[in-house]
Amino acid sequence: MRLKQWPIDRLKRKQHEHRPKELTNDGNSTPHPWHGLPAHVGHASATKHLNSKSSSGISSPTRAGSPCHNQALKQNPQPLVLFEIIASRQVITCACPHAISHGVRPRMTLAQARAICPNLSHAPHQPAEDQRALISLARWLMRFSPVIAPEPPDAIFLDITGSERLFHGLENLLQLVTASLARLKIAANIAIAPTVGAAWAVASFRDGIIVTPDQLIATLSPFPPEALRLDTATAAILDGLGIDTIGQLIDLPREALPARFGTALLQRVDQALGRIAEPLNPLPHRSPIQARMEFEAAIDSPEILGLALKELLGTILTQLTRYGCGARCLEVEFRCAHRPTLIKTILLSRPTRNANNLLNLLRCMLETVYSDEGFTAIRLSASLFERLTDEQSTLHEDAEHIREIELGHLLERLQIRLGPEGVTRAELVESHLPEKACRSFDHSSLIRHSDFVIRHSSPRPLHLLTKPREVHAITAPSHGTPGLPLSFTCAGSVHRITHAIGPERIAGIWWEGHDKTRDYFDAQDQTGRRFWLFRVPQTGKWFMHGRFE
Amino acid sequence: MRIVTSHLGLLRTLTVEEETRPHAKSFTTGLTALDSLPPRGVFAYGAVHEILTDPAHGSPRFFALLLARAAACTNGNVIWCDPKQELYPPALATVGLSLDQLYLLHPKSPRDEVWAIAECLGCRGVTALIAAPPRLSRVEARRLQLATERGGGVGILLRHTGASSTHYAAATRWLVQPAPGSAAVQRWSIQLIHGHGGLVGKTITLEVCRDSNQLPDPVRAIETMAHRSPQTQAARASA
Repeated sequence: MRLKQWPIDRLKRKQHEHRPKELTNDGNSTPHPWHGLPAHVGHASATKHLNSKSSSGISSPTRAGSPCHNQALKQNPQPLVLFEIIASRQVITCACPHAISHGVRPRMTLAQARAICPNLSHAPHQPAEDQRALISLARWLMRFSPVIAPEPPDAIFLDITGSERLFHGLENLLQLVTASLARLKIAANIAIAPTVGAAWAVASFRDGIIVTPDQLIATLSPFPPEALRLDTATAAILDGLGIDTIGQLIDLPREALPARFGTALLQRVDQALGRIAEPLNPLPHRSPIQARMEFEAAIDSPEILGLALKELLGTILTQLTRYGCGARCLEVEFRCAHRPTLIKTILLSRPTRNANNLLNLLRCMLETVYSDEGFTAIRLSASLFERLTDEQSTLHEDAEHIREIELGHLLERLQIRLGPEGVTRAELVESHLPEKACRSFDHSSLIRHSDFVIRHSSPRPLHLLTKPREVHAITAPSHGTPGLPLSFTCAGSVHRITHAIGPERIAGIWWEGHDKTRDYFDAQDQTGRRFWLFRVPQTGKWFMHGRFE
Repeated sequence: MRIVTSHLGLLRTLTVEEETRPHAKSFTTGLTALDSLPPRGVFAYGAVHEILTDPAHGSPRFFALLLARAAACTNGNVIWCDPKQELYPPALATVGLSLDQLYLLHPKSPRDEVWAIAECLGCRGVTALIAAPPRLSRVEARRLQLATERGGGVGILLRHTGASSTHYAAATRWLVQPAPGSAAVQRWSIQLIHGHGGLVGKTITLEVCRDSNQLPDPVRAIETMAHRSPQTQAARASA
């Protein structure tokens, strides 16, 4: 499969973000001659080289380009080009069909293109992003074949040997792939051919073609020699010699070719025709890391469940070690006979495959698991894992580092037993309302530094009631506005106020009502206790909001 | 006090204070009058310090914070166990404890709370823990002390006087009572009621300036006459 307008497709998908999980791959379309062919001037054309090594293997290019293209055009009618900066000039590397229909061509400068097409939108070309997306798309395509080899910048090979039986024939498979890519709005040329080289060649120029082994030479012959993945110098020499098609190239005396062009040309011809083997470099297959255990009878004893989990953990850790990864998230499923499956999740602050630590966490988690009829099966899976660099902290005796790690482990244990909101951190928020001046957040999220310095006109109490408690207060007589509180009664005890500082008026948020303004008093009673009282001017009611203690 | 030991035929003299204590580290609050009370004039790491108060007087969070802040310095981690979520972190920030150092625990049941306190105290990454545990059994109190020795941090337990605080295993115990203040000053009277080698029974007054947030300038500890009020004696007797 060749994704001919990959950078643009990727960018548009990123802008639309309909389905984030279906990432698209991006390949550079620059070096490819697709833009010269009117048939492929379509928005994006991805060619899929399905390489099947069996005798029934076929290569045919399928063209998924046009439907995606039209749809994309409807959604994004503005012409789009990608540019890169070469020697301080912004040179267009890739243009969408809409832009090309306006006369914009790659290798123009951006200024020229805008002169031709005033409403041109543009974005920088990011080959690295394109390549990352290409690999994600290749992973997504693993639903069609287990052996997928992305070939940056813009091709993906699927070894579909054997898959055609699963999908009831090559035509069905071709349609399925085409339809899925169209759904993803990725324009692609797809071809199925017996060899990698032939699939690449056909998909470069045609779409939706299935090449059978006996048609191989006949199908390839009309294509220009560039379809054989030649470098530009060789292609230019061939062009100069007047060799316009692969057929002419094959007819040349074979012995003469290496002397003139080196071995590369002959190798490409042989690869395309299947005379020499061309191995693919497939993506490694990542199987889910999990282990399960079924019990003959329902088990509810925590000790036995703990032993079972220890066994399963050992299996999982072996798999993690093989991948060189550490778990970030463990999921435990407890299956009951007559009840819905119980799922517990353990989130870890850093990737780990420390058996003791994980086992402790699992034991903590087991205390929260209860079923009176017992469990019939347990499944343990590492749903999230990350690459783990082996730690050598003990070598340096770095006490600070050890303390940090221990604190991380402690917080994980606490969180499992106390629940996700059981362990929090606090940060300041710029608000005058006392109860909104701080916010708690999950301890494992990134630490955000509040860069403002808290400046209150008066001190705040260490103890703040979540809901202010109404109290009865007696105030000093004064003219107009009520004066300082003289005493107040809270929970049956009378506090005679000896010293009160205030009021500090904190205005409420007007859209929450008209009685939210508060006049705060810092009041001290005869025993020396200090309270934070406030009065609502509109209603005249008194509340205790906290204590300085 | 010295101990003479023989090991592999060699005689050695150990000084008890230096050699037999696993965590000889200690901290001071910087308030001279307060620092003179505990044993050897310092607060020990790897130990539990209990702060007792009358249930009618709330819980002396400020004094606990003073100790925790001194213990944590600038880079230690402080965990505050706050089941009812009534601690107000902005006030901590103004008193000088950075919120980057602070973790809050909200256990839902007393059983979880005691478990969480023991876990925190046993962790080397925790410099200070402030908690107001419910009634502790003798075994639980001892377990907390052992966990603290293992972790090397400081456990600051806020407890109410009376029957609920009869079991303890703390290096020092303090009785804190609010004292009548003035228009500008809030006062507590602080008495050391347990601590081997400390000035047990002596009372000082801690003052904090009411209208300023700046610390430690407005915090003062003043030596007052050692007095035994009937209330204090009752608290000691019950403890």
